[in-house]
Amino acid sequence: MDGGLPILEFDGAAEFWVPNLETFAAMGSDPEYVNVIQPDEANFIDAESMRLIVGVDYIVVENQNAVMEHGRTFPRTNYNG
Amino acid sequence: MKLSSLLAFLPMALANGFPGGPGGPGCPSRIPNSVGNATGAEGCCCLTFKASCTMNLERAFHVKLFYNRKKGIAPEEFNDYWANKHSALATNFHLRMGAIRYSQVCCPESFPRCAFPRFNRVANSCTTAVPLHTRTPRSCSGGWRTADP
Repeated sequence: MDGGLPILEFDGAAEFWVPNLETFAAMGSDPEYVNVIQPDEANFIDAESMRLIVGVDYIVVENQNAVMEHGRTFPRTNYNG
Repeated sequence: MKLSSLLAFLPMALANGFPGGPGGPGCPSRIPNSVGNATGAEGCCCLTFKASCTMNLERAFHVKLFYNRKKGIAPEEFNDYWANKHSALATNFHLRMGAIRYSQVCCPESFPRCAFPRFNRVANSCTTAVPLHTRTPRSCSGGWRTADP
């Protein structure tokens, strides 16, 4: 180890935000995706290499402002510190 | 729809205090306001930089797909196709399906590890580390790629 952080070995990433997970599921089975988008992906993407993460954003700074009100809250747990 | 009929909505929307807000003209109302313990959802609009827009994005689900380019094509070709050809197809699809935001993270091969001294305790680590089997990192001296002269 040289002390530097390892870098993920991907050539790129695409990200999108959807209002609910049903939308994400619908995207994958939509005829336009299956018949048009997915075949086009095969023109430049190695399908085997694809990896996925899904999460929700907790935005701390936005447009050079500290974010004081959030769209989601997370329960506080007791921790030292 | 005629422009005049669109304009007819405006006074009503302004009277409500949030033109283009959820349910108003010009802003999709697909984002649920009931997720989590949200407060202050009124006045959100996807087309402004108001704080409530941040809350809208936080209520969404963030999907991120990592991938490599197809074997046999160059990074430049991959980037060109992705930004200039694939997005032409993907734009309308994402809009129609209700995606709030769609973004492509491009060109990691342009930013070798040595461009980030904060994360490098060994100054010249980029010459020996990063076993990138799919790409050729740029030289350390290059650093950030600047705009064309």
